[in-house]
Amino acid sequence: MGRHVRRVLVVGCGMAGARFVRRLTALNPDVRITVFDGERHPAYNRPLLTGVLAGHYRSGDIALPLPPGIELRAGVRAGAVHRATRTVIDSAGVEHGYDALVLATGSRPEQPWRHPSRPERSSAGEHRLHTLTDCLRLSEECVGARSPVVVGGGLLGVETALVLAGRGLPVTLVHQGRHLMHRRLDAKAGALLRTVLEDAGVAVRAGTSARSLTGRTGVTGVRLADSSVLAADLVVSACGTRPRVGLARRAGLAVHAGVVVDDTLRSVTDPHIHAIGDCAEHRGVVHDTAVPAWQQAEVLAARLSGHDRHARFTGARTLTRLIADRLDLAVFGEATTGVGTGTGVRGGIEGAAQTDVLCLSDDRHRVYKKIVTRNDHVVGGILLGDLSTVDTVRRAYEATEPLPPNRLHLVTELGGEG
Amino acid sequence: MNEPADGIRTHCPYCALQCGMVLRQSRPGTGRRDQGAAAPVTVDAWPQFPVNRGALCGKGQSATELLNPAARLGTPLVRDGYGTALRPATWDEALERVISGIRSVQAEHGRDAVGVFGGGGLTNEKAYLLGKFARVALGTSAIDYNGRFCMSSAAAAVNRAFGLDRGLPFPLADIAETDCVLLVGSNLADTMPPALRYLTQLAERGGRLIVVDPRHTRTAARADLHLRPLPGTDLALALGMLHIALAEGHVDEDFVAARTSGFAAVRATAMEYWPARVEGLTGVPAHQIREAVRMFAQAPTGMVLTARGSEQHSKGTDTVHGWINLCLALGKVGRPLSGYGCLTGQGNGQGGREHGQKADQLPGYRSLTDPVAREHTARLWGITPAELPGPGTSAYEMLDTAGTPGGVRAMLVFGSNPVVSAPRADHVEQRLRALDLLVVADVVRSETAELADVVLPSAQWAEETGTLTNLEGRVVLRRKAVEPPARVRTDLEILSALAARLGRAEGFPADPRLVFDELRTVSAGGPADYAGISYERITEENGVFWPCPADGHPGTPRLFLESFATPDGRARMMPVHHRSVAETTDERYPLYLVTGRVLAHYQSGAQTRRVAALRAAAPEPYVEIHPSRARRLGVLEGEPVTVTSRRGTAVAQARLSTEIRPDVVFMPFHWSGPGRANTVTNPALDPVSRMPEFKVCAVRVEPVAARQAPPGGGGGAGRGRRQPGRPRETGSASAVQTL
Repeated sequence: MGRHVRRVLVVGCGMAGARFVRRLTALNPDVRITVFDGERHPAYNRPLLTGVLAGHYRSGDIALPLPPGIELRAGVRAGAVHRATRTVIDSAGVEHGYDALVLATGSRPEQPWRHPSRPERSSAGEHRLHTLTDCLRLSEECVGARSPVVVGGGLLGVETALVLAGRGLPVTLVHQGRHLMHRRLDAKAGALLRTVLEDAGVAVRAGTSARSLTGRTGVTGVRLADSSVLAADLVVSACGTRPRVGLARRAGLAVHAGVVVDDTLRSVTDPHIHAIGDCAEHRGVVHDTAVPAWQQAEVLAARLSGHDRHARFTGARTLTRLIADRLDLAVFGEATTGVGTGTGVRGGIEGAAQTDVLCLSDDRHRVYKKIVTRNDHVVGGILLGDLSTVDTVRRAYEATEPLPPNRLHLVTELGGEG
Repeated sequence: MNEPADGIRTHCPYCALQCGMVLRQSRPGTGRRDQGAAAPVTVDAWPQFPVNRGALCGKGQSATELLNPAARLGTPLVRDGYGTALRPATWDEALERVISGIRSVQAEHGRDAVGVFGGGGLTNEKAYLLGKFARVALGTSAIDYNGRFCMSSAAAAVNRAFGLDRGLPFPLADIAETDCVLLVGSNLADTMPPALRYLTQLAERGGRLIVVDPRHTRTAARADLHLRPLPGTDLALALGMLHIALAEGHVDEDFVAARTSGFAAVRATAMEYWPARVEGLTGVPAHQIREAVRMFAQAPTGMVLTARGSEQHSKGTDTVHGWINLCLALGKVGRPLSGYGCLTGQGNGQGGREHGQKADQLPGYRSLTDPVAREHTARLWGITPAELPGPGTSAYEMLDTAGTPGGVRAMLVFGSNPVVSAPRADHVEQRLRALDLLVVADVVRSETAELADVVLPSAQWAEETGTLTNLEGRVVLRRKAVEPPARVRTDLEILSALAARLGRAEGFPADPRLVFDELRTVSAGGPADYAGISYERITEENGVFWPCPADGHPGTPRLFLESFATPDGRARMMPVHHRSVAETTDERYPLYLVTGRVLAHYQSGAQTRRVAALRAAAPEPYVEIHPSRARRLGVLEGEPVTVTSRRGTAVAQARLSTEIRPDVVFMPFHWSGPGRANTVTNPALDPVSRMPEFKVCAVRVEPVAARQAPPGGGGGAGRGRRQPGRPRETGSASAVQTL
């Protein structure tokens, strides 16, 4: 990749793109930067969207600052990449040359049901919470909703349901898994989380999926897997996201779940193209949260600015956090390994990895803590309801050195020597 | 000296509280304290003095031991050549050596090649005359002082935010009356014990205390809530707290609108510090951050007090802005019983920064770059503004470049011991050895004095009169209680004699009262206006708070109640962002070292290590390590360990404690030799305040047994300068190992 990066073209101006642009400008003001921002609102802080819905922030408060001097193309998308000539044709047909192309195209929400006739449009009462536009529309239209339903009991669905309940709405959360956040949490934690939600006024329907919406001009209900219909005048779908990789795929770049990049965040196919944030796949992992996206943005800015040509992104071991007034949850790594299934319970096969589970729960206080270790390293865990040891746990999860024999300090401050 | 019936009312020689005390001459034979024959002086309480109300810590109680001739310098010393020992000399010989050295350096390298290094323990009179001496008698721009290592970050931020830098904007006693104190990076239970009573009274009244400190100190143990951030992440914490305050609607919109400027930009920056991110940056659980915000915001009145733990960083200035922004957003400044304050460390850390020994300042806290201030000061000093030098380099930069082309070639050190107190001290020691002339004026034969060509024994606190300005901005008077030894002179006498020999017989009086009167005149109209303060008023009023512009003015115990000292009267909110520590941990240096003080000692220990009781209480340096970390390292309690950074190695006993985080070790910095913590510390400077990053650097810790050779570093005392074969460090990146 060239030592003289003069023109950088950035596709996408979300968390990763906006951060990258700001860092690159700070480190090397001489680089010419063009940014395509396909969204209606200028760059904003996506993790705070539920806070906007909750009324904690005004929409203007969460804007991400962009440096002066960049060429910002609002409402413009990239149509095609011509790698041979290092040009991009934008959605208006204009051609842009680049020395380095940065894909920060983010992700798109999964559609839980098909709309064959109008795939891009939502019916009245049908919502999601992926963009600020989504958020403002939901915030306005949820006022006075009589039977709001959130579909999808993952992280975003749980948080959204809590916010709507906090706004005094009688919300129901429909989740297809047997328990909430079933891909991340074990059954015990899922059950306790359900209790916490119910305490907060959220009705939970787990173990059933939403097949479609009912209503012709506006939503009247959600048809569930057993064909019964749950009455609903407002439905928020929160069924996960997938990387937005169409442009990369059309350009012939290697794409699995995301655009495949190496530790320098370069596409493994084309050294002039990079990907960061939700659309990138690094060492087989798509990091879909803000902090790793910012770390990637800083590494790439350091490299392309010439500030640190050896900067590398070597992965991020982050805790997924859900922090709300009535819910405090951290989940990370392999957290679903069942208690008693660890090989540590009874001497495993000689030389095989030894997996152990450390667990503590207090049903009355809605507290559950679980740490999964393998070969004396923390590989995953759950902290629910009492996060007093979160720093110790985070350090242990990030650490390269093995754990001490006494591990109770991971789950209790009385556990002695961290 | 005659003994008044009630003794001599004066103040402690140590910290910025400047506790009141009464010194009494013991009658021969009664022996109220066994001080040795030559120092029959006892310390008694002065219950009426408002700051400490009669309470004294062990340092203050044992202070008269410093008067013992055995503890102190009694005669001038000179060194005849490289590698030879210091020998006694007459004053005339010593002063002549200084003058001839100065003249030869000036002739060869110019006036700026002579540097002056002052101290935050010097009285206002000395600080003033030292600055005048440098700029008028020497004509050099090269003057700075160890206060740069003390509260310069807070001073820089407070000046920008409020337009006026006084450590506390209110009397210390107000702390007892507020509703919530957020104490950041201060272990005042150990560093300022007499101030602890105000926290006790606060608690008795039902007020809350939040302590922010990586260590569970004795101060933190008293807190209602203790937040333990990773070293170097206070700024992220302050931003995270402001974020939560914004999200939960705690911001005092009316106050912000009426009395501040710059809020919109600050709000925008704080938005980037949402709780989950800040938890990851700081290590403080999000629920604790939220609890702290609620506790502080919901208190009707509240104060944020910071100290070195938050300030001695390469982003110390921005960190203080972070805390000030929080105060301002919550309307907890500029109102009774609310405000931001800096707990200044050194005895005259406040006054010392106001009267012209700082590289960029003139007396009265005027700016050396302000044409009006230059004109004003030059006129009173009888020179033209053109003759007044411009700003010089900061303390560490002066030390770092000493003896190099472009750096100073001669240095006069007054009341400072940078061999122990400067960061990357091995390097600093080598720079001092490379000088053509090093002159040290001090009470004791400090580690820096050991390197000098000329050592001038100066009088100390009980032997001379002078004013100091404590952390409250209260100007107090230390009174002479005993005569100094026969061959000891006061710093003012030394400066007066040196000035006379440099052809300035006028304008450098040795009488402190004359110097103070001149200081009053020169400071008049400046931010730190002392015009209305006199020795008599200080005596009658138990000190006077500046600004006090006229004889009839009552002084100003509380600042900013009506408006701030900025041109528009509004406090400035400054948008600041967190950034990483200057030196992050890696595989070779996996732990963070933080440094600090212990109860029994003060600063470089030059005084307190000479007091038997204090030496007995804390005889040696140590390395505080968490037991689990110690076990992994194979370190046992009491065993010697090495602490190694890219700059050098220190050795001290391991002390195992669960009061420290497992990823951090702690060393007190009061000792020289192998146990000198500052051999290891990082001189990365704050871009605004030029404060070095004393409080955090990356190290590795090993049992001494695991190393092959005994460690070097810091053992230079008494060996004379310019030892052949001493390794020469070339840069912090070169990972120098002096083993």
